[in-house]
Amino acid sequence: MKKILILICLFPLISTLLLASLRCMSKILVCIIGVGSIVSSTIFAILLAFYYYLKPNPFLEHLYSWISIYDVKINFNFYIDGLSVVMICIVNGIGLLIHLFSTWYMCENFKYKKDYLLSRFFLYMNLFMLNMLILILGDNLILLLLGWEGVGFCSYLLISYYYRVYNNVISGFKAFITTRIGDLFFAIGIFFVWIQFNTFDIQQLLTKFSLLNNTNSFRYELIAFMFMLGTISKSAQIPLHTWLIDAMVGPTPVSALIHAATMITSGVYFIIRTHFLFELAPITLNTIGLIGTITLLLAGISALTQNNIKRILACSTLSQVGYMFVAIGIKAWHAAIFHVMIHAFFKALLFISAGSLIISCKHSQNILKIRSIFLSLSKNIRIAYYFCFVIGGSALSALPIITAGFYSKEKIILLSKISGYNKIWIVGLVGAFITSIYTFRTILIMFNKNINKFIIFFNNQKPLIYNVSHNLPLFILLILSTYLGSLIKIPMQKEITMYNIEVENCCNIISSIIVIVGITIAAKIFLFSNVYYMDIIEVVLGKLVLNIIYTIGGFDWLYIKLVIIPYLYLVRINKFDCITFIINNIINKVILFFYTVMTKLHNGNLSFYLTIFIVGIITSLLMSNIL
Amino acid sequence: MILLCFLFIPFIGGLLSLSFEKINIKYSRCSALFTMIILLVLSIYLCYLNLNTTNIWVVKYRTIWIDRFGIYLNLAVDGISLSMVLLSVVLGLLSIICSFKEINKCIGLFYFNLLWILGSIIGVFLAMDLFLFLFFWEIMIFPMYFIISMWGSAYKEQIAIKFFIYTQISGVILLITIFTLVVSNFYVTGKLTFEYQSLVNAQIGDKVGVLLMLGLFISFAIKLPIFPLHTWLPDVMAKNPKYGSLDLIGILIKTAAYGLLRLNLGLFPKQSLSFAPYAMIVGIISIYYGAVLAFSQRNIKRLMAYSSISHMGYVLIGIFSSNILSLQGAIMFVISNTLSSAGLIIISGLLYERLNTFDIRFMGGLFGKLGAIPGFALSLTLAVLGLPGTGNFIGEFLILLGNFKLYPKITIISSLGLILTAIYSLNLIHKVYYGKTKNKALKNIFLNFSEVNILSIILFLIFISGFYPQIIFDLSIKSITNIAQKTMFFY
Repeated sequence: MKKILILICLFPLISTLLLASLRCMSKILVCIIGVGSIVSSTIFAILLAFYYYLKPNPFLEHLYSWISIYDVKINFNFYIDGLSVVMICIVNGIGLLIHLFSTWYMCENFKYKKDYLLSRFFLYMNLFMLNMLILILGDNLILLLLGWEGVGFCSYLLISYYYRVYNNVISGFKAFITTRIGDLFFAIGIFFVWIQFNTFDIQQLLTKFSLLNNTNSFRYELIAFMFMLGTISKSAQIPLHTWLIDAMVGPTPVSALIHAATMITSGVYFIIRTHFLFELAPITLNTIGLIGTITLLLAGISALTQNNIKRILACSTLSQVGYMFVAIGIKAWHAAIFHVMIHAFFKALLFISAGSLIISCKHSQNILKIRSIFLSLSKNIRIAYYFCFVIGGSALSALPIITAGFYSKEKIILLSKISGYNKIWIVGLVGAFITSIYTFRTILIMFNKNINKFIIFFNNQKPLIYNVSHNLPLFILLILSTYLGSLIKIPMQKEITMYNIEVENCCNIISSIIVIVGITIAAKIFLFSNVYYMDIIEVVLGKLVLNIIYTIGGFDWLYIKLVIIPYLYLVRINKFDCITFIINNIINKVILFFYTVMTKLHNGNLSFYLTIFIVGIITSLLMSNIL
Repeated sequence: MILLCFLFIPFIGGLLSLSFEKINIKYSRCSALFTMIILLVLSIYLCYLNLNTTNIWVVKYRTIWIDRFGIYLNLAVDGISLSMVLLSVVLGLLSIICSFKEINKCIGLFYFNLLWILGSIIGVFLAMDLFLFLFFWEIMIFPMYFIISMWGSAYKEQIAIKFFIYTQISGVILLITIFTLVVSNFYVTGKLTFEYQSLVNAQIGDKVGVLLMLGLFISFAIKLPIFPLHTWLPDVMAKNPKYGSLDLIGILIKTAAYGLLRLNLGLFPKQSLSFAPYAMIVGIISIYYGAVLAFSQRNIKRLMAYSSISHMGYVLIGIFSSNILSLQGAIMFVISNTLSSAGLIIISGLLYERLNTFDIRFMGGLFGKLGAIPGFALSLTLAVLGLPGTGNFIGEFLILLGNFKLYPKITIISSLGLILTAIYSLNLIHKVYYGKTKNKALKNIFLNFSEVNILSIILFLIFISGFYPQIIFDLSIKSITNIAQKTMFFY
């Protein structure tokens, strides 16, 4: 059992190297290598989970000493405790299912988008898995930073996977730069930690923190604030959230794995991993809670106005991650990580069924278009999609009792009430209400038979083949999104709060009612008429407000005006290097001036020479007398 | 004795390949290659010796040269110079392999110049006598001048003169400084000596010391180069031989960084320390200025030049921070940054071979077209970005970490400069490799065996230094501790 952690990481590493070095491979071989590595990694992850279940002792695995100079000692160590076991299982499990699904998805997609290499896709995906595993397993901050920046880079590569379309490239660029800003603040936070505690080891930090008195809290605030900036950029919270919506141009399995289930939640993971630090920084924690609430509200409202299915899902991801941040803000670590897990299940389900739907509906992502094409599919398939979306959507909107989302999200809302954050509780409830409306709006618009005004019948000549690599992930995720998913126990210490059964029941009932009311309202509005919905909203709110809502606060516009345009202006005015200009125009001219003066002196006129000579002698004699 | 061999082998090899040209071109190529291989073996042997001794100086050699002025042929090698020598030998080897295909005119003379540049670079690294240091510093200029003026592209004579003037100014300032140092030492001790070891302990007045330190600083700053003395580099880079084998060696080797480390910090630790904040501000300006200009460039090689200026800002900050961490980081960063930009320059040469241009406006959509080139370019960009796992990250991280204790504000500002680095380097990738294919007349030549090998070796070295940097640390930690302790004394 000693070397199991390295084995988990080894397979993605090997497959990455294989896929990078061997370029010309058949698609089947690429799929076997790409998925096989994750399969073997997952097997070891499950073994690890069993082992940890039987013997729940955290342990450390030393690989080698990475950097050791003077007093800086950084080891390449992996560390396992309950938190990392959970995350490893989520990442590996969801990763495996999505890898499997993407063999189907990408092969289907290549019929539509030609000339892209499949091996490149699996190379990036496996590299992502490797970095994510390092991020989770790393026991010191530098190793975390390695994984942290690695996943960011892989996300960039995968967003701009269809590199021929300029928009995709720009979206990837935006994602990378935004997360990179956060990464640098993260690094600065690490520097602060080093100055303060002289170590990078998380476990050593933990022991040092347990010895601390709660004094000089400004420094901890500073450290926590830097880390917070890092996490909000990676987890796409306001105001650094703008990249996530654009990131949806990547292939859908990528959106499912990276931009919904795993990488987005790595910020949450990091804060929980170093929660002892954040506990000493109440102001930062409050800020995190505030950011979470703002994000969950704004993203939810924005989802009401979106028409692209992937963008709707991205907005819902934002708002769900907002819930996780709220949970962090109220120090409900266990609830946060539980929501990370459940969210990974149902969001992966929603994304891959959306991906499959998009493929079936002629690669259109607009829900209004999907509706018109949808009816041309055969009846069984339609029912299957409907089923998937209803289960996934009700998990997302936390339909009481039967779905997994209920148990995770309700817990956060409940804990905020119990811990006395009444405002957050209310915002959480409003968020849940909005969530249920936009989720069922999407579902009802897409699958509603009543409104068939714009139906265009396509003759689907080649029916798609839905093989096991398409069906199995959907099936497993379907099961996990229901009540059964919430039965999975997290081997972590629960936070100690005074549970009051009456309050609990009362809160649960209130939020259940709110969710059901939301769904009913959505049904009332969208089941019978949708046509004028957007127009009405526009008339009521005005175009500007609608635009701000649509772009989630209009931060993009702000950044373009405040950062990008000034920078481009700066670049333009200094295009030809002003220093060269100065040298060419001033120094060269001075030298030229002396040159002309000297040539005038040297003119061949004997009497001029003689005059100069005599003047020179007289001045030098006078000078010597004076001196 | 081994050091003397080390010093003379490249010069002799250069002469040999010059004379073999008359007989057969292949002989002169082989002799150049063979010289480099001998040098590589010797330097690896020296590394082996270094790891097995506890002395700071691994090997020394000292004999009288000009008795009257106290000038000795004093050579010595320690960890710092050894790692720099190793880097330059590896790069020399790569550039000779590159030039096999590229250079077709006056081959013997080309290798003669190349090996003489290399020899004088090694001389600079080994010299422990300031006169000898100056001697090699000056020798280095001439072969470089001839190479630019003979094998360069358009306006090559003008550019060669520009290069010559700039480096001569640097040389003259160095000369004046060193002579002043020696003479003022002579007034105090009554002993005329040029030797580093005895000048280290020279008693020099504070004001003179500051002036001398500034002289050294300016002289090295021109060669490094940093803002505002950088304008020669973009021109020289852009107009150098088309396939870039020379950029690798003449320009990329950071003899100036070594000089700053060895002479500025070694001879004037106190003055350097008091000057450090100003030097760091210059470094920050370089970082931002270079990065902004790199973003606006259309010529790939000019872009590389400005990116190099931007990176040198970090090296400057690392050196002037002068504690163990940041010095070690600076060396690490010089090594792996040199390797990564060498890789990118080789790639730009390969692109030139296929597209006949360095202008990024005429490129685009090359991904999936040119075999493995885009893949290599992407991975090298990853290193330029300073992502963890590459040597560049280790270097930058250690520089900033070491600097943070004393100058937190400077560290924060300079680390945010990495955002601009990301912007221009990813922009390069986008413009060249992503998007739709613009160039119709694309010669789709796949890489040959040796090119793939060169690029793979560079990548391998970068990732090795990222994941197992301890090999480089072990090499140089002893002498770095020695230098850092001297400055620590003045804190």
